[in-house]
Amino acid sequence: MFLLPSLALLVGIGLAPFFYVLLLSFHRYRLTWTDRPWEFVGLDNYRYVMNWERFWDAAWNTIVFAVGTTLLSFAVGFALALFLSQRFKGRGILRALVIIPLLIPPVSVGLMWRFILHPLLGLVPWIIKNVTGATVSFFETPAMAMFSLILIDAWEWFPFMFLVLLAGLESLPREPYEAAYVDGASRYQIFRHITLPLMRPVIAVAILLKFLISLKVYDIIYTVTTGGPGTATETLSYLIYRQTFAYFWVDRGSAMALVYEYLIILFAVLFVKYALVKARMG
Amino acid sequence: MSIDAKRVLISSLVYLVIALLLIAIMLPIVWIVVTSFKPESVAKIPSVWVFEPTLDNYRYIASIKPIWKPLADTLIVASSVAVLSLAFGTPAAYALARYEFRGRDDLAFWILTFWMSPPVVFVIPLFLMFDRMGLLDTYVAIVLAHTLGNLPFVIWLMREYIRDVPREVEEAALIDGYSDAQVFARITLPLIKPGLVAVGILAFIFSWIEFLFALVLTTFNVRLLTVEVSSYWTIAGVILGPMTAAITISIIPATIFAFILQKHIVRGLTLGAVKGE
Repeated sequence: MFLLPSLALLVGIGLAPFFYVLLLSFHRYRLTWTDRPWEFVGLDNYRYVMNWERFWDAAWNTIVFAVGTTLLSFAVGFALALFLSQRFKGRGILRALVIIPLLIPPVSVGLMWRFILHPLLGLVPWIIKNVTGATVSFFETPAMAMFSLILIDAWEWFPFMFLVLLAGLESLPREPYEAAYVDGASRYQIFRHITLPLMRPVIAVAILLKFLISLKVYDIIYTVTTGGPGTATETLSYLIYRQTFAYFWVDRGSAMALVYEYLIILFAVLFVKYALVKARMG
Repeated sequence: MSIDAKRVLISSLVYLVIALLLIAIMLPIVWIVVTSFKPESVAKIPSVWVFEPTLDNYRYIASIKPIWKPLADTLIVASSVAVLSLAFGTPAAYALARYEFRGRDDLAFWILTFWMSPPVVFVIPLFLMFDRMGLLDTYVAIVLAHTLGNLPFVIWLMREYIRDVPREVEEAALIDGYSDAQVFARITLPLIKPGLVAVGILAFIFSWIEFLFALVLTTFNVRLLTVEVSSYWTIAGVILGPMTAAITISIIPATIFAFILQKHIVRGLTLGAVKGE
């Protein structure tokens, strides 16, 4: 009885649309065909997508992006979590300040950084030029554009890593630390042999969640590079959006969206089954 | 060098790196806010740090390209989403936390798959379905879509909060002759009030910052802030000064809630997998 309203909503605007997409992916249909019925084409859309290089390029870009931003945000988030888990004055304010990026609309984050990294208008290229004399353009080459996107996304998401890891650090047992102090262990030894092993499950959760979130990236691609230069930073969400709502190939878009969805769920299930279980045991 | 001197050197280096990191982190926000007060003549010049502050950019977004409609709409939508997500999600969370039934964990996981799914999977069919029902560009459509997006995390999170309530309290009420619904409404709900507030705020923020659904499901009748902000820099060009003013407006809730939410956000983002307290 308590479940009914939620289930109705999830089925009505969650599951029903899902089957709608599924059905659509077996038909030929464009958004502009207002008076033509769907035409059944079997697996044609899937065949097209599977053989379409651009789809796999986008999948590759998505993975590169996700791996990059997950690692970078983890490094920054963990460093800050270790730092801000110590007791000192002003800690609360610092903690609140560093989580702001996470609560800003990603669209605003994107535009903000597009401005700050802009070769002529931007603060960062200007600083680099005045300090080192070098001219850096952040969006010109495919590699730089991808790097910049990873940087931007890591800036937005490191607070997530920070919060998760901080919560983990604060829930660690006290006893091993006390024993280590008594034994005269150095700070590095304590970190390496006590903190790190104890934190493994939390680190695994943090990395899994961030990786899953990164695979869905859309907003900053739209606002910063629009997939460019060329299609060098085109991710799956962006490619599917463009194909569906700019080129009106809803059918192909649906097939791609479903392949995308299954890849993510498959990854999540595998990760939860192996890595997470292993981290818990280890 | 003695070991002590080495230690001091290393730890001061670490603090220096951390300090630089913190500055680098805050700099973009500060720069955007600073630029929003720059006069038009110097907005595009990064080397200008000292200038006479002006409200021109804010006047621009107040009257020339008014931000009022997107701001009001976003407030309406985000508040409705927060209320609806809680109204739908909390009872479901209660059932998942308190009742034993077959397939309960499978159901919980199934709900979670909606959270894992890329929004683009849902935005295509929702666009077509809402179009057919004549609901495109209405509050109903966007509020329902955002509520769907929030429901999985609201359910998972409220379930954690409800589990923290000792069962004995509820059982005592049952013995006093309360019905299940009464126990939920009169005993459990008041006890999880802090959780409700935190999760409600998170749902509000997630709706406030959402972009893809807003872009596809709304246009003129409903205009959301993220779509408005994105319109300042397109292939047609950039309206820089006013854009920084609009961005500044869009980050106000973030700055307010960052201080209130600190602890609760952890749970919110990890769906309870890691506790914040």
